[in-house]
Amino acid sequence: MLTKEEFACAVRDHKDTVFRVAFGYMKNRDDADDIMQNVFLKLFKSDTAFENPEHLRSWLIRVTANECKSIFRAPWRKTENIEDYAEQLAMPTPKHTELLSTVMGMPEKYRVIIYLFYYEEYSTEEIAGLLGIPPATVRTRLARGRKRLKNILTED
Amino acid sequence: MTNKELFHETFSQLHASDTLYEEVIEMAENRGKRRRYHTLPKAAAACALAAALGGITVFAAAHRDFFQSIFGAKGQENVEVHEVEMDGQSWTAPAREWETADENTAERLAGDYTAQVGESVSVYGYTLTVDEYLIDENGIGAVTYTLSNPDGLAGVCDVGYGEYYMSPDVPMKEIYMKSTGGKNFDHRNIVDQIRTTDTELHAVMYFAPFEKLEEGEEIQIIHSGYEIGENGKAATEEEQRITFTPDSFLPSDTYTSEAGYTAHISPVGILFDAPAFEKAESGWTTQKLLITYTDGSVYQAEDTDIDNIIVGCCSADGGLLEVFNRLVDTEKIASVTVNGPDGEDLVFTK
Repeated sequence: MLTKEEFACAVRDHKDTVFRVAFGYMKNRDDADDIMQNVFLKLFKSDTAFENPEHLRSWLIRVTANECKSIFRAPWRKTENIEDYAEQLAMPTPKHTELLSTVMGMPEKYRVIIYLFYYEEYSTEEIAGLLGIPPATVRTRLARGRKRLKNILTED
Repeated sequence: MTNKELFHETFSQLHASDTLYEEVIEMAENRGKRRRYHTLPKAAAACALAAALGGITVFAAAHRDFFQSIFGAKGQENVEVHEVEMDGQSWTAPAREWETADENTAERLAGDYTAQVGESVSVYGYTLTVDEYLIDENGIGAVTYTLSNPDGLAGVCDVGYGEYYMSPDVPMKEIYMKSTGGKNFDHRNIVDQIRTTDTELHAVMYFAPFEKLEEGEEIQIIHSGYEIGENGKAATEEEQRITFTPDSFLPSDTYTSEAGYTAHISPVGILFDAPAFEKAESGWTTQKLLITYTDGSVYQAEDTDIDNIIVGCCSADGGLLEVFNRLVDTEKIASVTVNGPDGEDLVFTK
């Protein structure tokens, strides 16, 4: 079990990652906040011996994904106006705002994978491990998500 | 700039709040102090309104098809509470119960407020025709439309509960709503199975605005698409708009609770005013809506049947809007009950 100091460091270092993954699933800051609290409560109670910071980060992402999937989720859910939220953020250019709006406008199964691939820089195999789905499924969803972003992204 | 740099600069703007950081620490130390949370569904009370479905509703001739679409099941099956397995995970999905509306009641409450549009635009072979709409004075409403393609409706994917989504593999992208003043709407598109054919998709867009509309503000239904070039990127992109100006708004009645909260309810939806949100410590999301009628019957959207509300959104000023999946007879409402921001039930009466 983490000491209070270690736990405080974990919250400080990883709260944004957990929040972003949860927001990717829920599209709502209140829900993402709730998910985040539960995830860190689980961390606080966990006996897992973390080998290194990356181990902790991937554990948190996996627990966040499971938490998002396991809570009561209706197809009807209160969502936020992403464009308004994006305007509140200090986005460098309109292209950044467009990227956020477009990603968050996709179905959940695309947007979380896109976030983990492009932002967290996980490989498709690693994402498969984090989300508990086959790597081929990850690649398919990534490809379909990229199609939606073809006007924004450049050729890598 | 590489794609990863673009993503990094974009998503690094999303932060958990500093307040939340303190809350997490406190919650962890206290082991149990929690804010609101969407729990696994508990056994919900049986709906007193055991709607007898299955019969075909016959609406008054004036708006028969329109009312049948927006207030009826439109060929959609009721959904029971069920377990969903996906990607190795499982969760409980809620029920949705459609209800047929009495033709005379629909005509009496909403007949004077429906409006025809009847305009069409085409994008890459997909023609959108906006047929008819109904909007209340809070901006909540429903609009019927037809999407047609003589070559067939490739790319229409069922995402459950009667909602559809366009596959990224076809040139048509999406249909959505915006005001000419730039205001956005939360909306859901539900397929009208009764009228849909291989070449014509009939659907209802239920909507609620994220911001209050100004008087005379125009609404646009936007039909967008793209043509994919040989390199897999969009060679061209096209957007067509159908614009209309609502000039007749379904009225709503104001209800208040003992605590001083106010709500405005019309036959299509309900708006909870912003002050209710402001009083809440950490935001307020209703997870229960009970509309009790004078005859004792109840329209219920709670936990396991929460999907009896089709759209729910938070407005920019902190209000809360919800769109019903049936006609609510506002002349026969005894009370409206929701879970309040402090956990207790709030009962609204006129």
